[in-house]
Amino acid sequence: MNDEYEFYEHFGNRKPRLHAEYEDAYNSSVASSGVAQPTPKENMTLTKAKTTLMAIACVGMIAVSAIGGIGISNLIEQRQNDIAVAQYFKEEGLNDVLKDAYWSTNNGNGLVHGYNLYTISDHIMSSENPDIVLFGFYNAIDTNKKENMDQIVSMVSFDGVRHENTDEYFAARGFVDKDGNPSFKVYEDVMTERVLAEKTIQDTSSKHGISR
Amino acid sequence: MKDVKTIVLEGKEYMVVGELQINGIEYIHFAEIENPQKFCIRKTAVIDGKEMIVGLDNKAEFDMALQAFSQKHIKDLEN
Repeated sequence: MNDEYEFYEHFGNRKPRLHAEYEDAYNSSVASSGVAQPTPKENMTLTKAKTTLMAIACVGMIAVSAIGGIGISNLIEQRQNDIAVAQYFKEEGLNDVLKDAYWSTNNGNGLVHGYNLYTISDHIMSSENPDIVLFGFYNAIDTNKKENMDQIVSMVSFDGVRHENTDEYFAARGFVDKDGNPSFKVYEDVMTERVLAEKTIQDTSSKHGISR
Repeated sequence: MKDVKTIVLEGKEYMVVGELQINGIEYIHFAEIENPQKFCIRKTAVIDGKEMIVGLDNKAEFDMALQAFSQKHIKDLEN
């Protein structure tokens, strides 16, 4: 089991968070998703380059294989980043906190689960880098992400400042799109970069026997 | 000018951007013509005597094929 699976294995559907692009490609490829329907191979036809050139122009590349390469290499890189991020949080001990905070109960209609947000916010408050730890929980929580984030953010202070909700926190920390609106996409991209940078420093320090 | 193989899968037009034989199974990497960054990987199988393009069995098979096509595309671009 790789770190990504291990990081998420104790939650709900017991599958790792899948990057949207990966999930799209995966769902379009496997029979069990119900998307991929058997199609006679004889339906395949040879098409003149006009169509191909349109596609090539879309991505500014000059080779057909490059078109395939773009989708796949982006996706491989994203998957590697996801795994590295999960590995970082596992090494930081978030698994134990998540296990402590996790609860499940049968409400009569089936199993429901959630998280004790006080346990999580306590851990964020006691960490050296609350932004990064918050991002770890954001990654791991698989239900009602926005609502859970809103609650956690309102229970924690960042550099001594409290925020009412996620939007306020995003605006204050600069996780905004080009129009200045709070953006989960920007948040994910920026924080992923920060975690990867932190992990690189950590790995380098560890390699050279430097304690941080 | 170059000919490419195209096919309509689930109502969308795809072109073939790679074909690989892995363990005796033919895998095909398709990219959407309208949006080439969107792609899927399928394989061929004979069903009732007819050659069909079908979905992969599971995540392990998808990841395996994904890695194989990734290596192929990198190699193609290097050449």
